[in-house]
Amino acid sequence: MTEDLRYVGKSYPVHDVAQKVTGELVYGSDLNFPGMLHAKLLLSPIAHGMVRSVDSSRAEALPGVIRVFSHLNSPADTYCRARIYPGQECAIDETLFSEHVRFVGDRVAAVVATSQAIAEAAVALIEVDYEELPALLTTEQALERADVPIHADGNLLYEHHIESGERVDTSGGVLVSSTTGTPRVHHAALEPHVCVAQGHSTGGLTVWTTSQGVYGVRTVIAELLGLEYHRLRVIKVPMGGSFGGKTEFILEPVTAFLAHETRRAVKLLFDREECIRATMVRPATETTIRTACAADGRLLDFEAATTLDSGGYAASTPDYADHMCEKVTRLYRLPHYDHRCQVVYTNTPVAGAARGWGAPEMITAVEIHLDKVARRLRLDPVDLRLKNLIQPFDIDPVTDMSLGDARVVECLERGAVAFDWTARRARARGKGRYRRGVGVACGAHKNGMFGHFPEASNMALKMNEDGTFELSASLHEVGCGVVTTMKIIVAEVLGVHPDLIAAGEADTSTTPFDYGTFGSRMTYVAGACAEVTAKKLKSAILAAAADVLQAPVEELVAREGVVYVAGAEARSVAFRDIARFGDMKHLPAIRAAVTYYATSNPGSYSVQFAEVEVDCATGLTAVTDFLAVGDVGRAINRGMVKAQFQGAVQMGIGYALYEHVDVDEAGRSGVDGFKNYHMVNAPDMPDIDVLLVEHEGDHGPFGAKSVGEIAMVPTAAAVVNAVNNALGTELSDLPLIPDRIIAALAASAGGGA
Amino acid sequence: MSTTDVVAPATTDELVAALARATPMTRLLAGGTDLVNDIRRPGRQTDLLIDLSHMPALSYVRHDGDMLRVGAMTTFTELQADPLVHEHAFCLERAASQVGSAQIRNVATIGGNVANASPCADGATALVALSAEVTTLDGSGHRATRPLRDVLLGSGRTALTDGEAIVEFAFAALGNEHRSAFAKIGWRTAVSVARLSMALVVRFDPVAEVLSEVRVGLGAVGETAFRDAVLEGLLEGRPADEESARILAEGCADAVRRSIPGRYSLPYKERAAVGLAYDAWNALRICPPCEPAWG
Ligand SMILES: Cc1cc2nc3c(=O)[nH]c(=O)nc-3n(C[C@H](O)[C@H](O)[C@H](O)COP(=O)(O)OP(=O)(O)OC[C@H]3O[C@@H](n4cnc5c(N)ncnc54)[C@H](O)[C@@H]3O)c2cc1C
Repeated sequence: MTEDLRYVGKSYPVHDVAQKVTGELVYGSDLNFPGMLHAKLLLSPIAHGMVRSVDSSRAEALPGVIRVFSHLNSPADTYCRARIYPGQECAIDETLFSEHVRFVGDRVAAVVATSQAIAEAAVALIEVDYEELPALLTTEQALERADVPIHADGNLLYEHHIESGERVDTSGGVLVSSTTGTPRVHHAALEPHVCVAQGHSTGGLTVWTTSQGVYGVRTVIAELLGLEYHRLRVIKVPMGGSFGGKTEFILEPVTAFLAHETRRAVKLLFDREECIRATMVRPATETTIRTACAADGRLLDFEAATTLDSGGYAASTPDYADHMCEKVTRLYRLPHYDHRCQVVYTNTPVAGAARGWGAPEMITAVEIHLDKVARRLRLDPVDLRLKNLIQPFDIDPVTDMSLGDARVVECLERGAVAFDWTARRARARGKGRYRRGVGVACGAHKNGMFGHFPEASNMALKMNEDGTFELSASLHEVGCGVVTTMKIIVAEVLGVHPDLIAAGEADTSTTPFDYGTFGSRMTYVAGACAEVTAKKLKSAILAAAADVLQAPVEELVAREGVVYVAGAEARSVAFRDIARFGDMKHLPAIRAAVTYYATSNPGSYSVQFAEVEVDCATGLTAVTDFLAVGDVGRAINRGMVKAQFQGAVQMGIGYALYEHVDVDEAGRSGVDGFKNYHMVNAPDMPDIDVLLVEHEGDHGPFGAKSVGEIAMVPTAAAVVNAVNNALGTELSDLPLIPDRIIAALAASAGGGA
Repeated sequence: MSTTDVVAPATTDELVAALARATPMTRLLAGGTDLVNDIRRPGRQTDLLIDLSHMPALSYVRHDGDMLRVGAMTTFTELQADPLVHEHAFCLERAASQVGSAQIRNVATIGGNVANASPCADGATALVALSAEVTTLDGSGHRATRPLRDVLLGSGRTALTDGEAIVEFAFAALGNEHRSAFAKIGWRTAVSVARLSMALVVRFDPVAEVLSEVRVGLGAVGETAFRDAVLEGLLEGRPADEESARILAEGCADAVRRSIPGRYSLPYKERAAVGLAYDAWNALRICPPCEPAWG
């Protein structure tokens, strides 16, 4: 099959690359409408307290200020920023403006003014009197202080418990326990958050947003403002990155409210500091794992307890917790698995969706733990994993679903050879200032949301009069090339070049229902929908051609945009001639609309190998070489798949070594921009080799599976394991900033440096 | 809304005229790499911006007798590539080459680096070790020269008055018997401000085979870059050997302990100081490279 593929598996740039390079692309912050107003939010300067009074008179008196809003003159209704369809169960705890402020950055008030500068000046004139409450900045503090409820129902937001299998006799086994902390991190999309909304004189509303799912935006705003869905239009605009940070609806509800109230167009644009403090962070987690192993390395028992810091509001963290409990059994065969997860409110930045949705957090803990087990058993980390990894078509005991054509073992085996693992692992770590080490980690992720709710996508495809095509789908390009991916899939089915297919992005008024780009669902679910839709359209083309050529449809073959009669190839009609030759008799019917329901949710896998060099004087870690192996089923856009891995490795190294949003005693984050929020930049990036394992055994288009999230799942653990290998340490509190490395070295040297 | 006037003097007379208009809300604009961030902060108001970027006369490196003179508007890219700086102020060349990124170095100036008075300013740390003096010009056309250490008062604080512009730095050009070096530890390899930095200047007499005129500038450990006399005294008259390196490293860790007692970052910085000192020492190339036993 593979050899026959014309377009799938080659490399294509993202669809809007030329517009990006030339500056033609109109981003959300570029949008401008006649009479557009600008909004600026007043964010809480304190971590916890009650707003006693808001005096906006001086702000309102400033020329150019249209209105000032706070909890005093806005709906007190609560909503959930993570709800994607009506009736979906979620924690509903957020209001447009807070009377009870729960973190530094909580929304207290908004100014709408004729210019950004006036809005900013006016915000500084609002006088707010706060009654401070004790700031609970860690999950321990929040659980201890039941007398200081951050939300009415207490600080323990959610608990989840999963158990699968039966306890087995572990006597004589090796018991190992570990605790791993993963940091709160900023998504760091280059483009800050922005939303523009137009309140119409008819009472309707249009919202332009850099969202990952416009239908969810519509649900939340419609319910909050009491609008009928058909009067609320939400349009996805080009975005400069998200990584989950724009999955939930942060600026949309408040911008929509301001536009609706003023019946004007309103733009709300955050700066970097606001993005860090007041949008969302990847949740901080702490996971304690206890395992029992047979002497040969087989895992007998696996118990985990996770505490997840939700920050001031719930956002999607309860769902995050559920998913953290669905990662380990996707990766390892476990006779018994027990996982308790608790989600706790604290007075820190709101945590929520982030690339990998719980998998990087959980897998980091698992893979650091397994290296500790390997040390205890004196086993090579690769061998230990090979003894425990799942096999193709295993049933996941937690979800009771097949893991599909899961090729993680092959990833590990081929990766170990390609990386020259055994020889590199045996090499001396060095005794001088610079120590070398290598590390490996495996990771598992999913393909869409099947198993959690009816996972489906909708598409419509039509042929134009000249034989070109238009795909109508609610696509959300977030930087991973989904528009191009869909074009390639449709092109392959129809046998025409992807350039002949037009595809746009989501617009609730014109494109059919789809949840959006998240949950690793686009290629596997929406891509399958595109494949089915294109097949249906192809049948319509062949039916039309049969009539034009006066030949039975079974005798027709289509190639490169031409339909031939098999065996009599002189009799043919090109797609582009069907309209003309058929006198428009057929063309109107050459269209297809499909609702595709997913029926499976196999695992996607990645195994990654890192080599590091640690400077024992400065505690700085250089990642000197990196290999990412991915079980992606089939690469649709090969260059893009590799780029997903390369970008993910950049993010994962940052997760392991640099990035964290810590708060001080007052709950204020110490970082406010890229000056102090350090990410790995080009001079510190290793060469990254990407090795793809392609088997096409599942239900995705041409066998493709997800890549965008799985790509970063094992990265941090591979790096941490390499550092621990280099230093002979057991560091597990991320990120491994120089200070932590130096402290560990000092401790292992018996207190003296 | 408040407005900001911008003037871009092209001659010294125009500069003096502009400086004469200065108020406490007036700012000088050089490369803008610190200033632009600063004036965008909420609450900052600027009545007059004096743009120095049209003053080519302030951008030069000149040999003048025993002195090297560097114009305030000289960029780090220029310093990094200048043969006179290479020859007579190697530590400044090395410091310049480690500032920010190529894009930053293309516009960031040595004058802005000093006037901004960040404790971790790399250029300032090198100039401190070179015992530079600063010449300024004010709105009455008056030129004044004073030692750099009298200008740097603390983090973000200088002795410059409103309407006083730095026009030149001058220091004794290092000769054949001098060696200098600069080392820096940041959060990552490039585009990182220093968490710790050291500029080292020594005279090594090949006949007597001892170190003299030792000058050590430390950055990012105090309120401002400073010279550490205790540390300098430890090396004075010593041979260029491994033991001297060890003494420098120990002394450097000590200096850090003295500068930031009780600070959270102290356990880190006192160890990193040892690495930093060896980096700087080895870069002097006066004895074979050495390193301590890292436990
Ligand atoms: C991404 C990035 C990375 C950086 N990395 C480093 C680094 O590694 N090391 C480092 O040391 N710095 C670094 N910086 C800081 C900055 O680039 C330097 O301090 C630079 O030298 C400032 O010079 P400038 O010409 O841009 O000054 P400006 O920003 O124009 O001015 C800075 C201040 O000095 C005043 N000023 C400027 N010129 C004069 C003058 N002639 N007389 C009196 N006052 C004057 C201005 O009014 C202002 O207050 C970095 C900055 C950025 C944005």
